[in-house]
Amino acid sequence: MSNGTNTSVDQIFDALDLLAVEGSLGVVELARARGLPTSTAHRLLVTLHDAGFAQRDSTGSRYELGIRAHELVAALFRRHPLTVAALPIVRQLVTDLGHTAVLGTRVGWHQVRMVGFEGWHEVHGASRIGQAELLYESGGGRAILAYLPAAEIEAYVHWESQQRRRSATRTREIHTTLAGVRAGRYGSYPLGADGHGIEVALPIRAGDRAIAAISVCTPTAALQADGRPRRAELRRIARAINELESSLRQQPELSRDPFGHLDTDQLAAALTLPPT
Amino acid sequence: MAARRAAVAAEPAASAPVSDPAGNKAAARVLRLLSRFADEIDSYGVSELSRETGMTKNMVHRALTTLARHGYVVRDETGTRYQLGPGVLRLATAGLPELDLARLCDPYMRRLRDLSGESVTLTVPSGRSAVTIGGVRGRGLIAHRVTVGRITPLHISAASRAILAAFPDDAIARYLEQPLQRLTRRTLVTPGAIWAEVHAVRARGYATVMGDQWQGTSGIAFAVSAQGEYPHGSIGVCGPAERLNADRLNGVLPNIFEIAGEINHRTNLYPSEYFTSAK
Repeated sequence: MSNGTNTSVDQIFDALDLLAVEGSLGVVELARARGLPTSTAHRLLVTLHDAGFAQRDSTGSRYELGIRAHELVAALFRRHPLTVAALPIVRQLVTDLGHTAVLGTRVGWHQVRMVGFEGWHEVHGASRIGQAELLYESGGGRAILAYLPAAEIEAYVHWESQQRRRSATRTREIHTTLAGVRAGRYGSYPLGADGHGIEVALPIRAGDRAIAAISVCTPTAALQADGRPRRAELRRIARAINELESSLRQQPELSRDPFGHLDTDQLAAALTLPPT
Repeated sequence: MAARRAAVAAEPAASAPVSDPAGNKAAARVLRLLSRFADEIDSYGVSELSRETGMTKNMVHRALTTLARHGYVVRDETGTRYQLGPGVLRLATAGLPELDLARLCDPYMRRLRDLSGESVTLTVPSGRSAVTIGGVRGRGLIAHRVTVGRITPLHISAASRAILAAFPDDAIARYLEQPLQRLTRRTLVTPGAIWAEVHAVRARGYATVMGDQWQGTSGIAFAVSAQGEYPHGSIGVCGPAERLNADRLNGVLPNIFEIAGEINHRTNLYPSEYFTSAK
């Protein structure tokens, strides 16, 4: 998010941001999007390529994010000790349920999917590792949000209403939903707009708050007639949660948050890409 | 010369003439600095970074300021050092393509091929077998076949034995409880013989081709190590025995080990579960 200075270095990061958003980028597209001569756009992509941040895609003529980008994200995930502890637990959960399961960690006002494995059923959800969603806009995020101290929930609602120009109706809706999560003991969110299933999530708590959540992509066929998840599934997820919460009690350093010293609103801003 | 060529092969060269060489160099420096943060170290100080990258403290400071402006690094809790910042998470927005072991190893396998002239394959464990998931064909008219998808029992072939030797002992014992297939008269099929080979591989650091799968080939394989008890897999260099004779093999072994070290430095950051599906 440059302040408008047009140095090569700022241009490099603008190009990297665009590459991250688009997933796949060609020289001409970059030139058009940023108002650059094609030779400059080409030079930027080649520099990113040489440093390992971009690689040619399977067509050979466009670029996608390179290995270095992935390694940095993986390094950041590793700095959250909970993800290391969660890996075998989430993996076993997927083996047992057959559905895609993800550990989402709270980062500011977002949930970031840091650990996940895809289910072995023929039809299964994408794990979308690395994706960040606003807390209210995912099952895992809702599970986390519902179990934050009241003052923080208020701060989230306030921030969200400023960012997205939300109304009072939305605020009421959020509070009602979160009360529902606490009453029903699980967070949920639709999987895609076409009703193919729901994301079912339970919070992982340390001390007085949720710090992460485990969510399972449950296709409609695996839900009860009333649209709720089966008890057996909830119990199995709860077992995974208990394992992690128990580890957290024995080793409190697992809950270490590398961004704990940063301002929450600032964190949220860093995760939001500027409009392209 | 081969080493320099090999180094160039690992990072494909820029092809277009640059219109802003100074800016280009600065950009490359900043990216190189950012890459340092992918390692095990949680936070860096300016002096350390200056020492490790060979950049002056002034350059490091300017680069860090730029990286901080974009959120890629932030100051740590002490306020005096720098760590990875939340901006890095923007790189994952479109859903990061899965980190592909074959892709990660590809440039190194090409360097091994260029240095040895022979075919290089990447193999990963799967149940009681090993599966070839990637590789590069050797340069000669005659070369060892690279068959992606080939399945071999864990006690047969150098690639398999390099993987087996990297398993924890109880996993090896479990493997040896079941009857072992024989492919040639040189295949090891008794637990005693296989344990002896496992210890030899561990002592040497690599497994050698021994005619237990095909006749007439020679080569070696080393484990690709992971965080935790299990390896990701193994990388093998294999060719016709008349060409890849003992002298030639011994000649390239030190270089092979150097490259193996570089690969493991990166793959060690990930547990073996990272690259496999949850079946």
